[in-house]
Amino acid sequence: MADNVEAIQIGRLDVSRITYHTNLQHSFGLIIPLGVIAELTVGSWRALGLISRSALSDEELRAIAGVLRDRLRDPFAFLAQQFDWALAETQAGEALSSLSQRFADSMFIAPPQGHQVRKVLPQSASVGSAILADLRRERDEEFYLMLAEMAEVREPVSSDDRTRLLSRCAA
Amino acid sequence: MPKFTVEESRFRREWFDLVETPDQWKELDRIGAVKGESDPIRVENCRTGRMGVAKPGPVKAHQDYFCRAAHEKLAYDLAYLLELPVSPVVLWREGAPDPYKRGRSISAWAFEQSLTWKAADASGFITPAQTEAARSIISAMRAFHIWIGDRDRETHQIGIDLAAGTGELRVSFYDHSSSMSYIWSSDDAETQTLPTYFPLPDLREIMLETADRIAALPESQIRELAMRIKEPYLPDVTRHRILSNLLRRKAKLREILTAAHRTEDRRRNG
Repeated sequence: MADNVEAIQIGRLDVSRITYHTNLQHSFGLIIPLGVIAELTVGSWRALGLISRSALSDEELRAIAGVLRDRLRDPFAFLAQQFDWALAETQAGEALSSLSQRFADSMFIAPPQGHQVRKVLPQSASVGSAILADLRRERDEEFYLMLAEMAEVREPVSSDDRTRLLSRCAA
Repeated sequence: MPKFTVEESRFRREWFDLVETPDQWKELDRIGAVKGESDPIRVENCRTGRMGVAKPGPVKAHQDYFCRAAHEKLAYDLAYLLELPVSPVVLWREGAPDPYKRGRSISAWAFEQSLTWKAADASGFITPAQTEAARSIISAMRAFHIWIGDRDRETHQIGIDLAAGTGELRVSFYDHSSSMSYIWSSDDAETQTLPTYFPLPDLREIMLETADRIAALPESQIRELAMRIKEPYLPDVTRHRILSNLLRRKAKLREILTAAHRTEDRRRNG
């Protein structure tokens, strides 16, 4: 066998949709799509990524209760705080389930949906780029799928994103 | 004490009178995702469009020893009598007893827009004045939770009304499944009381006043509420155990609270 065959690393990639429910009590309430957060753990690596709208329409803002309305003018700014909290305070692989427990009402982060990943990680500096590329691809696909499924959003959407990569060994 | 709107009062009465929903409900999506929780599911009433949260979910359906739904319903009914802000609950037979061995409950959302106290506080939405103003109801609910043996309390089980603005927050309490027979293993079980989970200390006078209101509840009314919850939600032997503890503890709740306060003082003073 050749010496350059690398071991297969088993990991997991999860995504959660982030929405805002303007009427929890009745089915006719507007549900505003906000973003998607994703977590990938493989080998000694942990990557977390957020993509979120950076503005809401006037109609959407009017539907949000006063206490939160100002904070959600830029949903990305609000969600980036939650992203930073999850990165700092949760174990690898637990970020999305912790966030979904924390935000299970009007601000709704869905329970994580994901799948196992099997990867051969390159033994080079490009390993981080490879992991983040996988994470971004699935996160962004889910985000644009969500926007397409939710008919309320008909105008072009501005968005922002954030990713972080940690090596558990290095940490 | 909380002020309910006319519509809220009407709805609370309706679900107090209703033991088991006769309606069809549609299962939507899962809510929350922490191991050990009830695996709840968002549900929609097919006739009225009202939304609720059903639990347990399929992961916990097989647990025939754990009468989650009955605990949720009885906790709401008792809180209703005391005008305490527990979100309304009805029982839901769909899927029982297979796979849901002990049936399911549906909790209504108390507010149109809501966050948990924990998330709102961590996000900086709650002012010190609002925290201070909430001490009364938190203390009253502490007495209630100690009565029903609910030791699984946290600020993520308190919903706040986002429509409140900067004034006094309206709150509602969820998740009473891990109470009563989950804790009480005999007819006269001892239940350890835990220190408060809230950022501010209890208002002891409010707790003792609430204990007096609980003590004043007619025994017959508590029996009636327990008796109307039947199989598969609540086996006879478990109902007997719950009733025995509720009635015994209601009579000596002041004593239980006073002892708990003494323990807290000793702990604080080293």
